Amino acid sequence: MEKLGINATWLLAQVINFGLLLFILWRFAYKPVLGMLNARKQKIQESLEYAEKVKADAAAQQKEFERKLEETRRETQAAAAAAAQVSEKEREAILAQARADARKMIDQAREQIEYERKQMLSELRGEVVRLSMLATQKVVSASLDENAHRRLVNEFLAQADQLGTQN
Amino acid sequence: MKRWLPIIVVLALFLVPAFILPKFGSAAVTASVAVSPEVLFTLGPLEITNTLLTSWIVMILIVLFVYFATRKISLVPGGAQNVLELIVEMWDGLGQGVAGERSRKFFPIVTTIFIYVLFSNLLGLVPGFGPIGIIPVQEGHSAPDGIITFDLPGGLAEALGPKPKAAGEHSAAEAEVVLAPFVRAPSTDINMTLALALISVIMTQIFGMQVVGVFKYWMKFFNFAKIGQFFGALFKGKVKIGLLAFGFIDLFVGLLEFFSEMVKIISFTFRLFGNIFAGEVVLLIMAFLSSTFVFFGFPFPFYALELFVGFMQAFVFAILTLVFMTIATTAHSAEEHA
Repeated sequence: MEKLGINATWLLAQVINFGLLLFILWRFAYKPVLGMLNARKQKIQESLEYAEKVKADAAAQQKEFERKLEETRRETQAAAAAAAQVSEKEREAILAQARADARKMIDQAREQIEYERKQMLSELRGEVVRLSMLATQKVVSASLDENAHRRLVNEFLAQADQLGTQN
Repeated sequence: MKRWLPIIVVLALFLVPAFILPKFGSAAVTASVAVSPEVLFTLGPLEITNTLLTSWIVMILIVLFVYFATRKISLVPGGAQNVLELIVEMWDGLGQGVAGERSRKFFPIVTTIFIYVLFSNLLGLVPGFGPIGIIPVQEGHSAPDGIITFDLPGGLAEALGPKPKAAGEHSAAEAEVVLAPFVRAPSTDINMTLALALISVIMTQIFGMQVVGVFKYWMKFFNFAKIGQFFGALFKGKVKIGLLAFGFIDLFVGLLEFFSEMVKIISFTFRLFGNIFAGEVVLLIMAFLSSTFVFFGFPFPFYALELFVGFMQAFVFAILTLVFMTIATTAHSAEEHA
């Protein structure tokens, strides 16, 4: 023992050294560091969980967004269809109106034409009577009196009228 | 040419000092190897050895390290905190792996052993500590050749320094002058390794008793269970020779375990002491070879080796303590009480 340098005092001093060091390290190194490691572990776990939650939330929001988008699309389509229907009806109405107007105008035109024709015919008749009378006067020259003459022409015209209506 | 430059520089570094140093007569220095630590001075009744002084230096270094590591402790580690966390996490992880939740009980002792032994081993490797120390010089004599000495003031010279060796120990008294280095690795002092071994083994027993129960724990070593059963049977008039035979085997095995527990103290002590002490001796020898063979590269591979050994011994001491504590706290009485 003596040759190896073992000595109770020195041994005890080393034991005390170790005890002191153990206490210091325990109190000032292991406790805070282990606590810190635990805190970090917890923090990381929390962060991971939070990330997971955020991810899930984002996915849910995405789904919700898509659903809303789909809904909007459907609504828009419905609205567009309704609008198309309305405009189609409107078009029909306008067309019908236009057609009716056109017909009316054509009818009016026709009436006008008819009227003018009749007017023309009556004018023509008068002219023909006059011309005939003039011609007849020239030909017959007073062989007929005024009244006989007029009667003859009118007979002729009646015949001509008959012919005209036949045509 | 450029390729050879580093080699030339290294060779110059190794060789040039060898041509300069002999001018100072360094060849005259002789090395002394002493197992027992050298006494530097006495403090009251306590003789302060260089290893004890170095343990205090080691402790101060550890405390400083811990102070800087935990000064601004934060969730985002940096600097020294990383190193401390690495050590703490390593031993916590090893403990959890070997012993599970109850390793928290062993953790402080195991980790402290690791840190203390690691710092002790590595501090001994710091160059230049070994050759600086106190050497007693007789009145009127000069110091041995090759040693540069400074006189201590009168009072200090009385208080400091190794006392003359007890007769018959080493000595051809005046011829042998032993230099007492100020700093010597604590692990090269058997007192330190023995103290750690005792703490390790005694704490192992205490933890064993705490976890397994005092009676049950000692039953492991002094196992009279089967012999008791034999006598119990004998009272009822039955002779069971088998029980008696197995009882003696159990008793013998238990005693073997008890002795192995005692032997642990010795193996712990001398494993650490032997490795580190031998390492320092090897470094010393290599240093002397360097000056003899005019090549200063000899100690370098051994320095690398000793750095590794210093870490390894700290690791081994701590992990063996952990394993022994784990074994002691495992209730392995299943087959005995079945």
